[in-house]
Amino acid sequence: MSAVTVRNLEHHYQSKKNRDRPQVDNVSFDVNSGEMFVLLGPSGCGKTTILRCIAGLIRPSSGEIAIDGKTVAGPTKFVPTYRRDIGLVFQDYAVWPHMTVFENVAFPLRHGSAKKLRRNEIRDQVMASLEMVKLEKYATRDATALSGGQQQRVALARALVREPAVLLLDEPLSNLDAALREQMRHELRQIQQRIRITTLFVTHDQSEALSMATRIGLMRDGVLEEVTTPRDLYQAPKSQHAASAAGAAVFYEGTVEAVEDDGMQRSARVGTPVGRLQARTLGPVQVGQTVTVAVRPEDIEVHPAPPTDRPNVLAAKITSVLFLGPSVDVRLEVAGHTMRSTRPAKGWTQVEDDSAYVELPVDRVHILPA
Amino acid sequence: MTTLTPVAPPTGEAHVRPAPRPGVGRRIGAFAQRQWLALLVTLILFYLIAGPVGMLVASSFQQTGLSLPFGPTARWTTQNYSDVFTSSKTWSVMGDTLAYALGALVLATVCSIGAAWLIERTNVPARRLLYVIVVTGIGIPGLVYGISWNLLLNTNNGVINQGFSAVGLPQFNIQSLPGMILVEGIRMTPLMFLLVSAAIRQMDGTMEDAAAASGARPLTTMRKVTIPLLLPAMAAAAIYQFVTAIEAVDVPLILGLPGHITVLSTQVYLEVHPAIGVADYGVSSTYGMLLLVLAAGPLLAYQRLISKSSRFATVTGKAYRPRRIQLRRWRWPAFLVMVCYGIVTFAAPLLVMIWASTQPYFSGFSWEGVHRFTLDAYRSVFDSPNFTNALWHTLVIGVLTALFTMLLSLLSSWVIVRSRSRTTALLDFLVFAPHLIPSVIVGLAIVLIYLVVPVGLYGTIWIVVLAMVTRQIALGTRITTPGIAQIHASLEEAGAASGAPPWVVWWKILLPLLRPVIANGTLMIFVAVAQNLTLALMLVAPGNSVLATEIYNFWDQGDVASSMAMSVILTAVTATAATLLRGGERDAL
Ligand SMILES: Nc1ncnc2c1ncn2[C@@H]1O[C@H](COP(=O)(O)OP(=O)(O)OP(=O)(O)O)[C@@H](O)[C@H]1O
Ligand SMILES: [Mg+2]
Repeated sequence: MSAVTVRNLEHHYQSKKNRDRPQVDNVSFDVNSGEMFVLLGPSGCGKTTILRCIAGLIRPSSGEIAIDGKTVAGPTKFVPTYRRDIGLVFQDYAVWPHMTVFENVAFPLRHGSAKKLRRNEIRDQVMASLEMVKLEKYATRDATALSGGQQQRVALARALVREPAVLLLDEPLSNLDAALREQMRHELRQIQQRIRITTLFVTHDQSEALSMATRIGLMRDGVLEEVTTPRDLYQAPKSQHAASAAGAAVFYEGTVEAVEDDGMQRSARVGTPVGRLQARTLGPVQVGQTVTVAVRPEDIEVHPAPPTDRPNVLAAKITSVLFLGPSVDVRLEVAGHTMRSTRPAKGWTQVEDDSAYVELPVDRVHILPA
Repeated sequence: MTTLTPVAPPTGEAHVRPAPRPGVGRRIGAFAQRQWLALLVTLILFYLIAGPVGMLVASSFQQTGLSLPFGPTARWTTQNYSDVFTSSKTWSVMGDTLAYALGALVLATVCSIGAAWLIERTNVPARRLLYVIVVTGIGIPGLVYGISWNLLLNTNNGVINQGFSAVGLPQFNIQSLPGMILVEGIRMTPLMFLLVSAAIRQMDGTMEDAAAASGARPLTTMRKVTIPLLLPAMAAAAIYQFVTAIEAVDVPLILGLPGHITVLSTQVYLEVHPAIGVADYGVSSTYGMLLLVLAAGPLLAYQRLISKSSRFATVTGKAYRPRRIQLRRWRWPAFLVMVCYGIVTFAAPLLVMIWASTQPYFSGFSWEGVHRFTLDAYRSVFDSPNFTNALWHTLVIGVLTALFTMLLSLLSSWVIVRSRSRTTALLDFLVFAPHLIPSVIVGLAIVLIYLVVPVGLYGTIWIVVLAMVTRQIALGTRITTPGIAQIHASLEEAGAASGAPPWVVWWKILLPLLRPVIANGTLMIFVAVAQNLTLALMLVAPGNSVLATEIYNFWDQGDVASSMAMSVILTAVTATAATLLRGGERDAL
């Protein structure tokens, strides 16, 4: 059963300028019980707006939302935030500065529960929640006497302590520095896996989405374009936007010259400005059709000498090499066009102005509808 | 069990009922609370403000001769206006009002900018002490200040004038226009200083450094960067103070009346409290209209400046402080000038007040006077039930006004800050509008309303509380709006997301976080109310006299000692409250 159901959600902010174009446009999706659903999209595409609609902080212009099977927003119904079974973590933590860590986490139990809990029940649940985020030693601290990462953990513990039907996270890691973000990503994922809490996570960070999500909802300009798994989004993107949302990619326009279908797999030969390329395709394509071909830099191989008996090998010249530590970022010129490749730094020897051969493995070249 | 239909297939038709378009009817539910609150607050404010203004306008068109406006013999007329505009007196009153207000403003501006510059931007010694010296004057009520200066500088037995005569200098007559300007100017300086120094302190030092790094010399930097950046704040402070100067009757009554100098505020007051004859409410209201117009222009300009000056916002919280100018050998002379300023403007009035309260009759300062020292005045004051009542009323009115004003201010500010609806623009204007209505007019109009509409409020302390709340709401929201804006909305939303209903969010999150703001706001309003003679004098009846009116009455009857004994007590009350204010929030003014 799905824990959150969103149907035909639409929202206009009440402002004269953007009357005609809703900030959230007819969005429908389900979040299944126990999964980590990520809404991914560029800044300003309406992710936060959807999240706030689900939390009840905004009343949507139209559409329906249900949490745990109970309608919370609809044409004639609107349940205020405090009566929704949710936990919410904000980008800016929103830890109450006038309370201790313990009081912050105890708040939902003291003031948010329908049933009165006894003191020791509250203490046990709060401490369990704090242990989960590894803050049990800080219970009596003032909430302001914590680092950013610790405050974020307090916010998480506070959102989890009521054991809500759904946990809503709005870019919870974006205020943390890179190293801490990495670590929190793991912890958040672990906690979510352990207690199997249904989670809706909003972010514009592709690696965050790919690494944490069970499923990803890809958003653009207020529209939910597709819902896929991280693996499919990365390995078999359905559109140019989807391909770039899951990481850097190079794109070439081309014309289909031939189509082969061996019954198992379908592949096509595409004439592109850099040369003729063999590619796998998921959807139907016709000879003469204009398509876009996408390849990820980490999939493009670079050889000093031409490999024999392999398709999609093109002559190239190295124009620049950037050393990034574990890898090198190589720019090449192929038939007057720039191509980019990321290779392991170990064993890399070539330098600028060397000539080279690039290989685009057939099953890594994606054909997208132009 | 879900009440929702399954996801519609991409090509198929959605099985969901088409949702209604956004409209008025569907705005019920969660936001209803917020909107009801906005409506309620708007209505209360509208009642508080539109009532007096409407009454003033209406009664200025009433021939009231011997009765109240709308009384049995009253009728509609434009007679009041033709009387007022054809009277040559009107124009001399207007002239004196402008000269008085502008003169005081210039004096206060010069003093406060000088002091603020020394304290905030130079290395003058003991800056904290100097800050306190300049600011402490806020604790002395204008009324008391006026009387003290009269005792210092009247031509009959003024203490300082006695000194001037002793060394062969000409005397200065305080009961004159220059005298009134002097007293009002230095009375306004502390508040002006707070406004100006806050602006200077908030300026980001990197702005000046950037000019210097671009090759501008210090004077060019000052002319092209510092002054333009500070100008909006300074102009706003000046306009705010202009209204303060024209609205109050305290200094003009005490220093102007004996010298036959009348300004608009005293004119309004005298028409309803004539020395002989009966009150003429119609003519008084017409003078009130003139005052309203005089206040409205600058204040509308002020409102525009305030909203525009956000463009100049140089407040960044962590703003890095500008470097201080090294005064070198002028450090100590500058310090001495400031100390002298403190002695003249604060210590001298305070000392003469204490001195006069211990003299059986005031005759300036003399060594014989020391032997006449007596506490009789205090004894008789404390024995008098009138005083006990007045003290009690002052405290009750002060506390009630402060609490009601803060409650209303908090609710209005919350609606203004937290919602972006169309009503908030109106609300924004309504909380600011009381600035437009000088105290003397609020007093007059409210007297009229409750004389004409007999609901039993006239002569009670409630009518004073009502008038004071009306007058103080603008100050209240000036404190609470930035206070609430500082509290990020997500702190409230986190409360709602934790399952806490709105009242719990207010009680457990908002109010505790706002505690310093509420404490300071309450104190500031209490001080302003306790010091306010103008409203009290307009609304006073035997049953609701306050300390300020008692002080004025004793002074008016020539009982200097009792008047000054009460002044010492009132000053002790307000100065104590003022010193409880905490640094940061004082800047909200
Ligand atoms: N209160 C508001 N009033 C009017 N427009 C708004 C308001 N809040 C957001 N918008 C607009 O709605 C659109 C969606 O905003 P939203 O905050 O949902 O974006 P987002 O996807 O969360 O972006 P980000 O990744 O930057 O947080 C934006 O174009 C924004 O300008
Ligand atoms: Mg967002």
